[in-house]
Amino acid sequence: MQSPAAAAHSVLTPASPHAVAIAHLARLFFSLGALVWLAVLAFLAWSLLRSRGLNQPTEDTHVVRRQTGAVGAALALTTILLLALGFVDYRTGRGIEKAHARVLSADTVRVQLIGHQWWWEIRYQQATWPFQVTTANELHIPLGRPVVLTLESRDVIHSFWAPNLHGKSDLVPGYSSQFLVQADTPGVYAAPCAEFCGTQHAKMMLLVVAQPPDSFAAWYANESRDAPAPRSDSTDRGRQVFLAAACPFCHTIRGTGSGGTVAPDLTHIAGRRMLGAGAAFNTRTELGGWIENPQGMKPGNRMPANLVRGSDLPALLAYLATLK
Amino acid sequence: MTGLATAERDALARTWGTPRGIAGFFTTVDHKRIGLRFIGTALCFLALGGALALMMRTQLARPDNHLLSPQLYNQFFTTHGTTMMFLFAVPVMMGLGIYLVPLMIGTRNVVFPRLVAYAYWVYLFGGIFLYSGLLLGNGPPAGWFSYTPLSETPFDPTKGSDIWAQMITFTEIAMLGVAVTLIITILKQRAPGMSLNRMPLFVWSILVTSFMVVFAMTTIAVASTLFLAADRLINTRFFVQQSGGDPVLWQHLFWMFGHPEVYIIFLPATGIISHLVATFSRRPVFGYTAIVFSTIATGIISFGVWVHHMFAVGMPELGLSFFTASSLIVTIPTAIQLFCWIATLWSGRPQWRVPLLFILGFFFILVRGGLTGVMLASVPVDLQLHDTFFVVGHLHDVLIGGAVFPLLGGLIYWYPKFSGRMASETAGKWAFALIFIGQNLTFFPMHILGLHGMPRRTYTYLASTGWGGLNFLETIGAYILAAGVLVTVANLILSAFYGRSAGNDPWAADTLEWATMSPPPPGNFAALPVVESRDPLWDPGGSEERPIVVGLPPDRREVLFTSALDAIPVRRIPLPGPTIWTFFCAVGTAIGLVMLIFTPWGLVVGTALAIPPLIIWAWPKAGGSA
Repeated sequence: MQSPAAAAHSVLTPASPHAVAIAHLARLFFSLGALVWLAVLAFLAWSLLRSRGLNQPTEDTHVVRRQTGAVGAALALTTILLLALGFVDYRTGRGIEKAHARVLSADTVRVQLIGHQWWWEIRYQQATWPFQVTTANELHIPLGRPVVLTLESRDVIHSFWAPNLHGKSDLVPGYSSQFLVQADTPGVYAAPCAEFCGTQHAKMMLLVVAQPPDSFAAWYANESRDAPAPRSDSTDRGRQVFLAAACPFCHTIRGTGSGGTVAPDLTHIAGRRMLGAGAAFNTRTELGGWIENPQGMKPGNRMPANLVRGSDLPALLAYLATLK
Repeated sequence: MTGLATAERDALARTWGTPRGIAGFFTTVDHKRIGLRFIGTALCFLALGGALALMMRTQLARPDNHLLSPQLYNQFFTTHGTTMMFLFAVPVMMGLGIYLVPLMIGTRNVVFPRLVAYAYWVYLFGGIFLYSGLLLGNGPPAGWFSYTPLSETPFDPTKGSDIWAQMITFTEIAMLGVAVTLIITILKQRAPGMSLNRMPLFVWSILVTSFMVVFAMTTIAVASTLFLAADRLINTRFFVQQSGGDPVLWQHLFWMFGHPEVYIIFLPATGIISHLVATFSRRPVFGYTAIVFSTIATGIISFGVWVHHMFAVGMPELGLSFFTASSLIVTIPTAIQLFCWIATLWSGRPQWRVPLLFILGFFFILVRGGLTGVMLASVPVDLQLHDTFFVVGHLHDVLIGGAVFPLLGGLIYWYPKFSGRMASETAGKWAFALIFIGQNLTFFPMHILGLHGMPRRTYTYLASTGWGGLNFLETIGAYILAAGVLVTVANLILSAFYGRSAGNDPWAADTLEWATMSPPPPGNFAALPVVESRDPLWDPGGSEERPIVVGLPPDRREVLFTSALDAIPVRRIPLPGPTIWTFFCAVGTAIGLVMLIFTPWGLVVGTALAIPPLIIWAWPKAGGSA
């Protein structure tokens, strides 16, 4: 498995056409801004340090004329620069918007992305049965194909932001908005929630996994299937632990009869890179710690204490490890 | 000095004086005492807000740190932002206005001294209220912007957001009282001859700022006091989507206040800079008219840029373009002011004193902050940088560089007037160096972190993000910055005892506050001045030749009202004296407002407790003084 540490999260290493356009624009603004800053400071330093005649008159018309000329010229230059920046900015914005309008085709992957305190619900929409495939916290997308995200929230305002792919778009409760992303370079991209959403805003990360079309297809086919049935006694016992404890009230493992929808779908949890929406890496130790003390590594999250103890825990972990 | 003049001075001191001791403490209506109280209290809140910031920086110094719980961290950053905006920045600037405006325009007190006294108590109680909540473990957890629905009851069932919303009410009442008083004082009490085009630039900036307070504070009053508090207290659901309300409405209302708020803090700072630049280059400021118009233009345009805080909410492209344009345009008046100050320094002879150093620091940091602000005006760029540490860096550049540096320069500059003594030059230089290095070390790396994807308002981060190094550097910077503020505070306190005696006009400055003693006597001036130019103290001829107003009786609290445009004397106006009822009225207001977060009956109780003292305070006295 690819190391989660490799999840990219930088505006400056764009991996999509939108992010490339924005990075160009940001570099332009930044470079011109740096030039203006240096120029202003240089003029200030020169004004302070220049040598002065001894008996300078206090209200010399010549001095005032030079001041007026300099301030006027600086003002004209500022205005021209702002106009130019405004124009370039408008063109970039229009370009991105037009690209959005153009790509809506049959080729488009459609995903409903729903924000919860503090995790991401992902529902792939498709025209054929089963019409919808649900997962959580890890969004897989095929390289080079436009992905239209329908952004919604079930509680407070969240914001989707994968810096390598595009800017932000808020998930506002009661609203449904569309946002287009695309990745041209394979990789794992971090998408931390970018609107303050309460106690665990810091640990609400979506991973976007961009992969070649064939491996995406394989992943998607697996994700559409129900959870594999237990093949050994211990994993079967783990399944019983899951169903007997409070787990199914909130979680779903498709194919077991559990149907909770207020917490992440666990049907293929073993295939995910991280736990608790980016709170920790998905290892057996971390998962065991999470179940034993849900408030430990992500205090304030909505998972209550449970009674999975003793030999139940290894059985449950063994079962969950089979949910690839 | 003749015996008659001395007798008149004594009479003035008796008439305008404050009772001694504890009685005077609660009853004073002297704008100088109230102004210094505002400044001192605001500096205390700066220290508290700074302490919270240090704890947050310590938490973020390394990844996966467990110093602060997420709940505490969220309460701390909310209280930090709320403190700095509502309890430090605006009150300190308005307090400086209350202290300086009457001295700069040559009058004896502000027009509603009791209202200002009342405003101070309400402000103080509001601040204590917020920190009581925090100390009781119930600080506001939803951010200084309190976005709905996160700040609504289902997501914050504690009293935290109630305390936040009600603290805003306290500040609104206080700041509206101060703003109205300053507007009328400035328009009606200027010295004869001080037509609007001769008014000192600091007074101009306070006039524009006060008008902005009136409009902006009204918006937040509607949003916070009426809608949010009512949503939480009596379930009105203005912002609850399921009931037909709209959470985005809150954002519009909040930023319609919130962006002008930034300029409410910045414009007084520009006023301070104009005075410091003039005094320390020994030249009148170049482009007086341009600076005045820039100040007014900034005030107006700042009400039209609020949506640039909301680009990510999702709106039609054309609407967003409008706000990009206005956000780019608002930089032009500020640029004009910057160019005029540089032109002034160019033409003059710079005096390398501590206040000038702070002005240079202002240029270094504010210009950087302004340019990163231009980046954020661009919709596509903003969609990347919004709500990242880039914005944290930007806003602290603008607010610390743009407002705190000029403020500290201004406090050192007017310190001799406040105290009669000079602040230490050596300590001032050390403080400047520490604050300058600390600010840059803390806030510049934040821009880089933002570009590398670090979101704001996160209490921790994973080691694998690689953000640890820069965060550690920032934390060191924050402690250096805090050390600089401590040196400044120590300087301000110790110099009051050990400083060199200042005299009336230690900087050889040009405006009227330097024409009187340091500190000024209770009635400010022995004789009210008459003004014939923009720089009355730089007019040829010494202090003996300056024209004065005669005919105001020294044994009555009376000031001269002049016409709004040309400052032609119109009539004498009696001003009220010390009273305890403003304090009681403020106590009644505070009890009512605090009760109101628990029960609507607070409104009844508050009214019952606050109205009788108000009637007594405003009851006309024989002789016409109210």
